[in-house]
Amino acid sequence: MSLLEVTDLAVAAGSLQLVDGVTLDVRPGEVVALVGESGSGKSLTALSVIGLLADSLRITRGSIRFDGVPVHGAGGQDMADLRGNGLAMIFQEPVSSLNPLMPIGAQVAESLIVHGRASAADAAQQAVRMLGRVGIPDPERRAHQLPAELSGGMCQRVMIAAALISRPRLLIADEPTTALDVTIQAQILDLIRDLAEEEGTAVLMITHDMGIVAEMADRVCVMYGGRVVEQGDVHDIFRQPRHPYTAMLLRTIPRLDHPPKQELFAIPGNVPSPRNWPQGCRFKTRCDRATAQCDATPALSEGAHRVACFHPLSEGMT
Amino acid sequence: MTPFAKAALATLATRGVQAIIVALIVGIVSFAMMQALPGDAAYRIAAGRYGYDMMDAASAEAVRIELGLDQPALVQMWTWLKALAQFDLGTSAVYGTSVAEEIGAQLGYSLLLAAGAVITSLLIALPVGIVTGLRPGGVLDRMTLAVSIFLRAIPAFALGIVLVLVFAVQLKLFPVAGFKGASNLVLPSLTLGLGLAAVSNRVVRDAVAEAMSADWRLFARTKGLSARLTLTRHVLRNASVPVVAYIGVQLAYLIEGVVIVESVFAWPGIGHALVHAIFGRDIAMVQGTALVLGLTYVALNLCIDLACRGIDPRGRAA
Repeated sequence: MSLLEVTDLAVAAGSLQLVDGVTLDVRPGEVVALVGESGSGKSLTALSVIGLLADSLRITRGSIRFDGVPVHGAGGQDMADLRGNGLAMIFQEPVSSLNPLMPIGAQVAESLIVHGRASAADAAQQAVRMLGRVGIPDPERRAHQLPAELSGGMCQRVMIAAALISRPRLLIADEPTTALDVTIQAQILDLIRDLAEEEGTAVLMITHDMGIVAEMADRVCVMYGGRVVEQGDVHDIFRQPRHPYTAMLLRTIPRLDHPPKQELFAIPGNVPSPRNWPQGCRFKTRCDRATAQCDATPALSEGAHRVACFHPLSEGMT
Repeated sequence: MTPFAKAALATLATRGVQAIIVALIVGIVSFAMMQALPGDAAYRIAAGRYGYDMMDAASAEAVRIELGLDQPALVQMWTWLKALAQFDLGTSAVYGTSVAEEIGAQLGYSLLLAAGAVITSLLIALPVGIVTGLRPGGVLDRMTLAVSIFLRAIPAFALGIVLVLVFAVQLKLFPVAGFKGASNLVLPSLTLGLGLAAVSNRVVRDAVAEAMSADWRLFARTKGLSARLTLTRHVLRNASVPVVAYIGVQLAYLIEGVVIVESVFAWPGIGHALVHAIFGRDIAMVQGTALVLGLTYVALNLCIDLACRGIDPRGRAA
């Protein structure tokens, strides 16, 4: 059974549709990558799951189930119980995501204390242990330091510690390495993967980086224009992408075995803003396979490898 | 020594040097301004001592010789500075009493009024600023902005007179002027406090609005903190840093306001005494009160500095 099940989720700001029919699921212990360009609705999908959409945004359609229990619409209190308990999240900007005036140890311990799962002293001890586990050197002393005294990579480790100390069953990681140096990125990704494996935590990894997808994910969910366009096992999708958008995304990865100085591939055109989403398939304006049929909205197919396209690529076409 | 104590000592030393510089500048400038006033100082002082109808040219001449007003200005100033270096503020030219004793009796009343004004402004600005900061752009926000602009635009003396007319003369809720008891404190405090709150409620509002949209606030919510707990544990402390710093900025307005409002309400404080002394050409009193006002400004700023350091631990280690 799925740990997280999102069905036909739609999010709108007033009359403006931002997420328009997202269906995805995460099974216990697996890593699912949610891929898409900026504005594709991936972060809004994540915030809907954890129930922290901005006041101006509303879920207008669809359902979210965590562990079989519907969370969207269930009272606010239930959601707060789930946050920092079964469900945790980390963000893109590690330095600004930590309270600048609070020692990092206290920030790591916080979720245990607010859920009454540990006394203050016990939580502080657990926080020091957790800081050690995420690779903070000298955690005993560091726990009393402020975020400003730590580097960006260290702050991301602190955020991971704060999220995982509650032993969540699902960790949502919203571009956790985008703000970090390339050398630090790999360390942080390894850390997330190792800790998640040890604890059996499922990870919903939001990213636009196909390299991270290849390294981390068991399954992939590709978003475009507020919708899921393709979903499947990471091997299947890298070996045989079926949606033209996924295929183009894969071609954007620079490869070492390509001749040098060759121009890098870029997807033609721009991501349309939600105000200017085309009728029917939202990728048709940038797609070389689009026909008149694409003026209708393609449905997501059933099965293990799902695609929403009238003209999917098949074996041997890439 | 703790880092906090060390930083506090450094602040103290800086402010000490500043106090000496302020004393010199205030002394020289106020002396120069007294010299620049039109009319014969000796004549006015004699009138202050004996009454206009009881004095003549001979008594004015006697005063001139007695106070050394016939000597060159630079010599007079040097005499004053020499006495000041021995902590001697001299005697009132009109009443012959010790300036230090006069000020000692009045300063307490002025500080009482200043404290009343700051407390009144916080009682207004904090709740208004927090409520509007939680809903920036809302109806209440726009209304308080209009009221703030209106109140800030009214000079303190005009606002004071309006308050007296309404609450003292018409409604007879509070006494008109003077100082007989706590009820006398209400209207002058309100006059000054409204002027201060007109700006500081916007500072509180901005600080709260900024903290509410900070990344670390969202991260705190993902840990399972309720909106209320996030406000009390994280938002208010962060928002208080600029608010306390702004009280320091308002000190200049406060001291200026005390001088004016004391005159409007015949408050037995140092500002009222200063205005009287200027009219009576009581040079020693003017010099003394101006000096004490300047030093009070430095001392209050020191308190604000220490308070800021207490709230915001960043930079303590440095």
